[in-house]
Amino acid sequence: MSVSVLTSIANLLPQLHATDSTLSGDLVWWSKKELIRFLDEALKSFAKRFPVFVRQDTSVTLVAGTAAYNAPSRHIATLYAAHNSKPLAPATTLELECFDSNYLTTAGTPLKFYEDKGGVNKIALHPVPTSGDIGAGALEVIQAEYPADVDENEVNPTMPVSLVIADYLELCVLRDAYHKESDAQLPEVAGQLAEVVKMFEKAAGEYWGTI
Amino acid sequence: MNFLALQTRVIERIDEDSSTPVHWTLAEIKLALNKAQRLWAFLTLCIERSKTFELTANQTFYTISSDADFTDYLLPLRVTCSGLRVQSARIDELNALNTNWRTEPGTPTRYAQLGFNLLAVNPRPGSSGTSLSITCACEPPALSGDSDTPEIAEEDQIALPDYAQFYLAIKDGGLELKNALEYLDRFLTAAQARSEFVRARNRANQFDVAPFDLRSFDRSRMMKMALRERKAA
Repeated sequence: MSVSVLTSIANLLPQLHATDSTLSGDLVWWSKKELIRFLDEALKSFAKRFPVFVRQDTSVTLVAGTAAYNAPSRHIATLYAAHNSKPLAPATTLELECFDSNYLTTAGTPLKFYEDKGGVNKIALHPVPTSGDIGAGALEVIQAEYPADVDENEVNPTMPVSLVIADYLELCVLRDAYHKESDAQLPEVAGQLAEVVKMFEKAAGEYWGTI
Repeated sequence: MNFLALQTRVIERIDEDSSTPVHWTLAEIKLALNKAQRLWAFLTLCIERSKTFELTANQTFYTISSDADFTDYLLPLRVTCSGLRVQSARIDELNALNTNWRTEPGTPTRYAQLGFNLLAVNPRPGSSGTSLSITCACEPPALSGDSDTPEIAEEDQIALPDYAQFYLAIKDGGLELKNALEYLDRFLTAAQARSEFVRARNRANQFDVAPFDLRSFDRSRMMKMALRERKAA
C-alpha cells in the first residue's frame, strides 16, 4: 500500500497542460517542487482530519518520578495508551484534580493518561511511575499520525496510501494549482474540484472516522 | 466491455483522434478510465476478495500491508478464523471486556481495525500456524491491455466513460467542464444505485462495513459551477 510521489505528479501533467514526464521541461506556471508541496499539504491535511495513519508506538521510555513525556514523532492524536500490556484510561486534569489534589506528584503504577494543560504533544501519566514500574516496559501509544514528509527534495519517494486515496490527493493538487494566483488561474475549476474532493472526504469519514 | 471498447467510447465522446491525438492522448484517456474504476470501487465497495492473513505466535498488533497479498486492500468486510466468525470491535470495547486482552492467549474471536493498516486481534495465538480469512473490499487492478476487462459488474461499466469524460474536461475548464458535469452526475447516480445494492447485500451477509451512502452527500453544489467573468486586462 504505497504510491510513488513522482508517479502521482506525472499523472497530473496533462491536466496542467504539460507533457514532459521527466517533470523538468514544460510546466510553465508551476514547478515540480511546488506540486510536491501541494501534495504534501494535501496528505497532511488528510491525516489531520481522518485517523487513517495509525501506528502502535513503543518508543516512549518511562523514567521514575517523571509524569510527562514527549509524544512519539509525527503525533496528531493519542487514540489509546497502555503500559505493561494494560490499558491506561484517558483523563483530564480537572478529573484528576477532583480525584487527587496531588495528582502531579502521586507515585504509583500508572493507571491513567492525560494530555491537557501540559503543552503540545505531551502525554502525562497518573500516578507517576516508580522505579518498579520502569522495568515493566515502555509506554504503548496507539496514535493517529502524519506520514513521513513528502518533501520537495524527494528524499521520501512514496506515500503510504492506496491508489484511490492517491487519486484524491491528485485532485487536491489540481485544486490548489488552479487556485494559485497566476496567469493560469482557473477559479471555477478549483471550486469544482473542491466539491469533488469533499465527496472523497465524506466517504473517508464514513469508512475511517474523523479526528 | 473490454478496455479498448471503453477507450473507444471516450474517444468518440470527446471527438478525439486515437491515432494522431490532438488534445488528449491515449495515456490520458486510459488513466481517466482507471481513476473512474477505482472511484467506483471506493464508493460502492463492490469488489470483494477473500485473502488469508497469517498470524504470528504471541503477537497482538499487525500491519496489514506487511502482507504482500494485501496491496489492494481497502476495508475488512468479514473475518473468520478456523471457520468461526471473528467479530469487529473497537480497542475501548476490548479494554472494557478484559484489561489483559493484549496478552490473552487463544484463538482470535475479535479484531479491531484502525486506520488503513493497523490490525489487532484478541485473543492472540499462542503458536504459529493460525491465520485469519479476511473477506475485504479491494481496489480493482489497473486496466492496461486492450483486452483487459474491468472487474466491476458489466452493467455498471458504461458509467466509467462518464467519469472519464468529466476528468478529461478538467484541463479545459470553463464551459467545457461545466458541460461535463452532467456526466459526473450520471456516474454518481449509477454509483449510488450500486452502493445501495451492495449495502443491502452486506447487511444480509452481516458484513462489518457498509458502502458510503451517496444520498448523505449534497451533490447540488458539485453540479453547480459558477463561471465568473474575467476582467479585461
